Amino acid sequence: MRVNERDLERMAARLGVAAAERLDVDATAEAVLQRLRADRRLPLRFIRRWRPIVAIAATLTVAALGGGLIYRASTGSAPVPMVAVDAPAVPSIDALSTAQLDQVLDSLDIEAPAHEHLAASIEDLDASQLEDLLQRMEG
Amino acid sequence: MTVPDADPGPSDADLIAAWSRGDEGAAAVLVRRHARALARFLGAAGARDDVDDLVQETFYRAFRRIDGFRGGSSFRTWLLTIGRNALKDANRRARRRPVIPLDDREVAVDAEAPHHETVARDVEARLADEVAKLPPMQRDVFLMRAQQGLGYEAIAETLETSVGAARVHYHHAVKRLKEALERCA
Repeated sequence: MRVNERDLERMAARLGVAAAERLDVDATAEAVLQRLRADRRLPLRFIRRWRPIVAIAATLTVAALGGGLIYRASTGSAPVPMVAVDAPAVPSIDALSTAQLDQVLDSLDIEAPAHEHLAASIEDLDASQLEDLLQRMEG
Repeated sequence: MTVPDADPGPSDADLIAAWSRGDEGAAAVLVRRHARALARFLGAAGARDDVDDLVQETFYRAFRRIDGFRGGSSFRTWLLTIGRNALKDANRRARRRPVIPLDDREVAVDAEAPHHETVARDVEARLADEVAKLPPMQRDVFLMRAQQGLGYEAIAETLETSVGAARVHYHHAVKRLKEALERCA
């Protein structure tokens, strides 16, 4: 049997006709709409089912917030202002007194080099010499 | 004498807009307008006893995400796309269930029918089997063109392929189907 393309298309056009004829179009439309309606009802059904729990949770939240406000009003505590915390200021070495400079050297626990001019007294050093000294001791 | 066309009623676009505003009647009209064509496509594409369910599922999915319909293609081709996916899902689920042998499928036999009608029906049944055996892309292109009468551009858009590829798929399908039918004759 020779089959040409036109025959094939004609036969193909009839494929599935039986399935289409069996279909109850009105029932299909109604079934689709019912499913869509059920979808729309779903959120409402959820809220209705959980309404008591939602109500309790809302009441507790309001009570907690209200209680907090009343407590703050009764104790008169003002909101604590935010304070910018700076790093501790390091005083310039020039601002240190002689005693403080000695303390610094003691705290470093480093034996002072036995330079003659240092052996005399630390008080004889000026600020730049002291700074230089500290830097050398710290390596 | 020309007979004036019956009033085609509101366009698909108007009905879709009405459904988007919540008009259920508009959705029902769309189902009545396109359900049979969709059932034919699904029946020919391999859906068996579950055509009704698949048609219902297709419309349900379509109306749920009607905002996704951009109007670039026709509503029917959009439905065919969704129906095709619904059929794929159904086939996936069916693969996990026990297989019913092909021979057990319902075949309508009319003993009173004239011989030529019986032969024609036999050839059509054979064609249906051969169409079902085609690779999915060839099968869908063939059905969209030969059964649904869509042009290559609409087919390409629906199946997310190029017009050239759609043409090639169609010609491969036609060649295979002709060979299969001639072999069986």
